[in-house]
Amino acid sequence: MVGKAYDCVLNPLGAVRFLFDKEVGSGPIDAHGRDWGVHGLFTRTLFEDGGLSQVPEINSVPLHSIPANSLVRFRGMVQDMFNSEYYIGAYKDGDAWRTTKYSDVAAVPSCSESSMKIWERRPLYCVPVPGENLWVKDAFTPLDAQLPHSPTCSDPITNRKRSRPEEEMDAEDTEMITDVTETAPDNKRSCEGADLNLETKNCHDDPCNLNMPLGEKKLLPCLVKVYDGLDADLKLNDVVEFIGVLTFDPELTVHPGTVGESVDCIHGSFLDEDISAQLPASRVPRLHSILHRKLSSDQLFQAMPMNTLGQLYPDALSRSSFEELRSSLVARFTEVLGGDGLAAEYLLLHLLSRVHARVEPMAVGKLSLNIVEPRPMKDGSTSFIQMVSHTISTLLPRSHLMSLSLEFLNEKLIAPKKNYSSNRLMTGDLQLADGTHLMLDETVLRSGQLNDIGLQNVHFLKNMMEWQKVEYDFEFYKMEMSTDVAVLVLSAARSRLFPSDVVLPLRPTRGFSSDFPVENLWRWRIYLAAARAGDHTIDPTIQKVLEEELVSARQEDRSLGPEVFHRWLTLARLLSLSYGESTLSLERWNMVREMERRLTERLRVC
Amino acid sequence: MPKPDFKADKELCKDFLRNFVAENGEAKYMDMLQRIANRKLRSIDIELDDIRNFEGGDEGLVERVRSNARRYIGIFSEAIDDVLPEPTEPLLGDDDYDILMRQRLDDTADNVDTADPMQKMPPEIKRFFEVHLKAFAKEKAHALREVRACHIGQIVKIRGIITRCTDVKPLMQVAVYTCEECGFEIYQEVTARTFMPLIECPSTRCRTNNTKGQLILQLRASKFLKFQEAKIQELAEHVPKGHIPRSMTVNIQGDLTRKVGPGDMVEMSGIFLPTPFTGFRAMRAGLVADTYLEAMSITHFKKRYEEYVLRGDEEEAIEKLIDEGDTYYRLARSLAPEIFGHEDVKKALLLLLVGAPTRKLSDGMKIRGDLHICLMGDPGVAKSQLLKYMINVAPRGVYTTGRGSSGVGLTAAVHKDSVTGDMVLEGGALVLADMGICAIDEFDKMEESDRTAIHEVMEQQTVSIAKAGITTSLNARTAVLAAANPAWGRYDMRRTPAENINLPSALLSRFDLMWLILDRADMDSDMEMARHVLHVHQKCEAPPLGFTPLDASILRAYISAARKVTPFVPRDLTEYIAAAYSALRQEEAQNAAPYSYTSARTLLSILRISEALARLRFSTIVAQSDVDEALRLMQMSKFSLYSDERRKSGLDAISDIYSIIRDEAARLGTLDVRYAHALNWISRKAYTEAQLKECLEEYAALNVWQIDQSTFDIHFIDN
Repeated sequence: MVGKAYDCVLNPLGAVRFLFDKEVGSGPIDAHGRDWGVHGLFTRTLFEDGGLSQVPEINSVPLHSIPANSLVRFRGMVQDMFNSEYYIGAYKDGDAWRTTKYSDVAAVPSCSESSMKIWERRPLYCVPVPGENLWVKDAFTPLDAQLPHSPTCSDPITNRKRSRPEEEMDAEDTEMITDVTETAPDNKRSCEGADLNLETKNCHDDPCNLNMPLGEKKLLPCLVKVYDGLDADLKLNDVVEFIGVLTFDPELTVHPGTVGESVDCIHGSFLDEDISAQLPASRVPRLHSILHRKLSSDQLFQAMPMNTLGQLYPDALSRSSFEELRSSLVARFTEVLGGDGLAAEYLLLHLLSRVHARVEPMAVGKLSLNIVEPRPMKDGSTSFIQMVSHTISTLLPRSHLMSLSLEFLNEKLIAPKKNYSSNRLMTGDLQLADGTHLMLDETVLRSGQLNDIGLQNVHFLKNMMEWQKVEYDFEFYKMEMSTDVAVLVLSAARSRLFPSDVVLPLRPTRGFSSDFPVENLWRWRIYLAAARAGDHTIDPTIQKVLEEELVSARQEDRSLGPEVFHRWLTLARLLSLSYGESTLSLERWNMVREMERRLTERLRVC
Repeated sequence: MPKPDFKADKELCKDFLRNFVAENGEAKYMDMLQRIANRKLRSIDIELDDIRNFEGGDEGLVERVRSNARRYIGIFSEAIDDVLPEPTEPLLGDDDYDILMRQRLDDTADNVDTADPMQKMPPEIKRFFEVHLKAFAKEKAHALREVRACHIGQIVKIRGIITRCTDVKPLMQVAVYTCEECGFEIYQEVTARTFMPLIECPSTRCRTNNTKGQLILQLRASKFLKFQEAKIQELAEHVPKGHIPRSMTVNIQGDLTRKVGPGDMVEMSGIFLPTPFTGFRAMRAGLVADTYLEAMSITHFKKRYEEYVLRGDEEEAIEKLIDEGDTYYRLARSLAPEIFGHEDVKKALLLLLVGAPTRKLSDGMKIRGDLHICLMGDPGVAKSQLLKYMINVAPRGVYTTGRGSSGVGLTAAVHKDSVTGDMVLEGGALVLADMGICAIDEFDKMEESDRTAIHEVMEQQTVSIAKAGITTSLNARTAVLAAANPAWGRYDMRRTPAENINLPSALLSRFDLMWLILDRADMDSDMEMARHVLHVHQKCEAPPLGFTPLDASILRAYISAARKVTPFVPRDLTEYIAAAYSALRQEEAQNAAPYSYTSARTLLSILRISEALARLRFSTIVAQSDVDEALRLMQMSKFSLYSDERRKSGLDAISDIYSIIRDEAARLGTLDVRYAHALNWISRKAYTEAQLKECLEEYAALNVWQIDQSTFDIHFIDN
């Protein structure tokens, strides 16, 4: 069997070559370069034998501390998909076949067509997950990532020297971040976003526009190459962890200034869209993916290293702990929302909502919420928004606060657009992974004129809230991409621009409390993830009752349209799930009706 | 794998060219070659279908040609060199090329140095034709993402949209040099995009004399090819959900250049080829090979009804539909099947898709055949969904909102081009939807400039522009499907439609049909809705429809087939239509406050709708039943606008109750109706018992029915 001929982590290519030689020995070479046992080997080593923890994550250790051609991980969102790449996958070196799979360059002797095979691979452009909150990042960063005895460092001493400045910087950063977390992390984030808007606008023509989402500056994007058609199950905006070979070949690094003039003169007039030229290897590492796994928001916890979680896994939550966590969380929300219990209930249900089915054109299960806090914009109100956003960002894995100022709306398009001169998809703030929470701060919107871009942006946001779809502009046609983004609108009066499923005027009885205890945080996070992922059914017995109730409700009040019925049923589903129940009971249904009754009363007073 | 014998195949090719006989008995390729020899034709298209037919059952050659196309183009070229006949007509005038050729031939006659390979004239320079291989006509075009590494070297057929293309440039095919020392012409064949120019004369004379003769490139004597590069991108319908459309580079040469521009939908066949990067790029790209498609044929792919060619299976499906009967109803029901009810609206929309033929009178006046329909209704009654569905069914449809998302608006705009600084004309949604349908949502919120222009579009079907020195008229032969929201949020029954929609009645009168969609307040539909919502949440899918809707593609095929029919109104029907029309006018004259204005336009509408109905039956003669149905639809559309109001006045509730009872009795085929049943029926439609009693008395007084004094059971009087 596979002996100690190679080290899967430090020398993955050795393993690939070893297996290839074995394969070639056993029969004629395959014309399409199908897998020859590499997947199986790496699955075994990494997942069954626990090798995964030794594999460094690109964004949690300094890039230069990872030797080239070693095994790495990258957690990111698929932001763009390029055309297939055809490469010389195998060639004959003398009498022996050699393979170049999972690598960038090799000294291929120029040889005739019959002695080389052209195979196909698919490059994907992946960026750090937009809006991913710090606690998730921290959870994925192994505690020992920066220690010199980390298995990735071939030469601990030089490495330590090299990474010293980096370390210091990182330490500083974390300090700064923890500092900000206390006060207002999202405010900082949105400011940064505004800065970057300007920046990206300026550098749209820049050949190496990295297209980073939501003003991400620190983390690296990655050009992932996927083999063997494994990309078939990967969709745009999926959050994926890739495990593969990191290649870094200085020969391939091109600095924009050094590109040979003469060559460009000839090619300049042709349609040159060489992607790798736009993405210098020094800023965009290349990863040749051997394995990958999708990380949807509930799988995220399973993928986290054990040490952060202890034994807590979402499926380990018992029914009783569900109720206990629920009540403590609602109590927490009540505090944040100034003692408004009804609002806290709605907020919880809103955070649990996700699109669980699509019945075209409807997205079933979404529940957008509009919290109306009519107090004049004093300091108090500002901090209220920050507080809500802070609360959400500490509980959900991915969230983003979008300040809808007039300048922001008029500045640039928030939906992605294809740029045909660079053949890339220019990202927009609405290119978000499923399960991201989006908070719209409408209180900063002042009266003024929306320009063309502003109008379109409003349309995009509305479309997203209503149908959970974002139109990607491909110039010759538009493509609607499905999203699953829960939208929370905070406004001073009922939002006319962005009609939500639930409009909730806040009735605070006391001040908004800002302090947030940490002891329950992890349990709450897991509770939210588990409840979100839950499954739910409506029994035929209760169906009859509901049917009659709906009809009689409509007979009483003609203004109740199908959208209200959908809302009630969505609320009922979420309420059941929040108690960890998988079937709807009459009790929960009546609770929903009662919540809705109280809400309607509130709206009438308004 | 046996090595292919190219020599033998060349003989096969010659044999094919000489002896292939097309179905009409002509020697297709020899005729073509003759025209090439006479310089009337510059490219020869060899169809794979012909090779297959020529070969009979044996698929050897055709398969080799298909999978190794580049090589076989060369072989065919050589074969043509051999079999090319002498010109049969004198060539007109000598151009540079001929003079050069003659000189070269003279040269070679007394040349001593023929053994030198570099001095041998490459056959390429003598050719003035291009060989193109055409893919099987029956082969289905691939989506771009289906073209994979295994297709390299083969002929593939793809379909897509052109996103970018370069200017046409000359591409050197054979470089010709003359040597300063020995005076010989030296040839260099160029097969790639770049080549290394020769500097030293390689001729035997120069080499033996060791003179290192300087070579001078002779541009005039070299052979160039027209060359254009384009990018083709996948069509939206080929892209799976959650993926990005792929693209491919296409090289277009010779006569195929200048055929495409950005935005064109094309179907092309070509050879899928790799090009290894050279020089600096190779270093940068590592092992990656660039691929491109060398175009062999390009056809613009139009989505017009008129050009729609039915496939065999579609014809069968249509015939089956006709056999099963009741097509009108079934087709209408299959439009937006998930939207419940609204049968008459859907029938009207079906007729809009079918349309009537455009009439051109002898004096040049045109009478439009496209039907215009306006849907009105409270927000949230699925108007927009209906519109979007229609766009998907129509082969050419544009969806836009009255506000228009781009600056061009609905009609057209003159822009200054940012690159050239020229004024350019850009068509708006109505122009883009020429020969199709244009769905305009939020019609009432149209911009002022568009509102004036749309008058012209809806009757004359053109858009006239007189801006910035550009005066022109663009075709906008489109059927307008508009949706409008009421001006006061909800439809106010006490006001006229014109007031409700806030549009001038001159514009409204241009619509053939207007529908008001309201959600009705009765038990049945409430129940239906509640069930629907519950089902969606329970099963996570839309409830079954109770019938299988026809596939959109069959719908499209049926409609395009129907559109080919041009029906006319027989003489004996004109009288009937005239009578119906004057009856409408009379009725209006008697009414003190007419809601609508019946004019000559109404008459044209009746004719259009009737003709569309005849088309649906594939009949060239309009029948009386068509006219009746047209009148009924117009009546229903009027009712949708006005009847509810009359019902509220109390009087009409009575007649409505009567019609409910009558319909139900007719359905059951009985003359006796129990009072309890009648009460049951009418309460579903939200009428009260008092109203029923009133109705019973009133119609009993008219001797329509008799009422049992004790049980109130109804007995219709049979007359």
